Amino acid sequence: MTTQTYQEIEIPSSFPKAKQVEEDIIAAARKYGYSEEDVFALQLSLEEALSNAIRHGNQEDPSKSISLRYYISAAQIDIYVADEGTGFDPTGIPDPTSSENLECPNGRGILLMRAYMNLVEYNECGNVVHMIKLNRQAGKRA
Amino acid sequence: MSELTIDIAEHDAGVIVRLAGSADMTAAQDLRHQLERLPTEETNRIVLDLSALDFISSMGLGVLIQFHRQCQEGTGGLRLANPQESIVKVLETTQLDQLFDIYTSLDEALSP
Repeated sequence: MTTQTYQEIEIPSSFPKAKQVEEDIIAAARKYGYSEEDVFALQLSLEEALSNAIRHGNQEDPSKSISLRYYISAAQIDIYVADEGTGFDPTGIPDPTSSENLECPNGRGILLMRAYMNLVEYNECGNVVHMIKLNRQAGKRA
Repeated sequence: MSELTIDIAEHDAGVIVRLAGSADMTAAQDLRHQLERLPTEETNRIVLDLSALDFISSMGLGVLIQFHRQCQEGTGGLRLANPQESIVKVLETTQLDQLFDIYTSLDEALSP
């Protein structure tokens, strides 16, 4: 098996297309020995990053694209998701866990990404998210 | 990752909606449409059986929150039954375990 996988992909703003990419990345993570718990975290965070890019970044405009770049090794997964939107200030998102926002149906994506990944950071204008997931199984096998 | 299936069954104590598979971005719209059609104004209780639900994203959670509101506006309440550990963790992370009534078994959720 190769020691690292690197891919650059551009997809239209489409939930089924995003799902296909998500499934490809998850399949690769399993091949590199990530636990099911890590795979769940990866799936959830990818889902949030991609759906945010489609819904909020590209406003579900099918003529706009999403660019993905990812590196997968046995040690960690690095993912960049970029949309064609004008960006946003991630520090300006209301806390979805506060009592006044608990019944709001939106606004939990960033919270979930931050909870399930080891690193989540945005570029200056907020239209590219970079996430890292470390493999908790790495080094456990001889 | 399996596609979401939604089975709806009448029960003496209310309506049981069994969700199986992934409540993800591709399934959220269908889930919303199916739940919106449920007769929440005439049903005493609706139980979402989550025992076979293995994934939920924020879009899926958003649908459940909207359905929770719909049930509150009706005559009965919404109960979640038997979520898997990974789903419980998502509910706890988002603190939606404070919003939903969550039961560890279907029998418990169906009891008065």
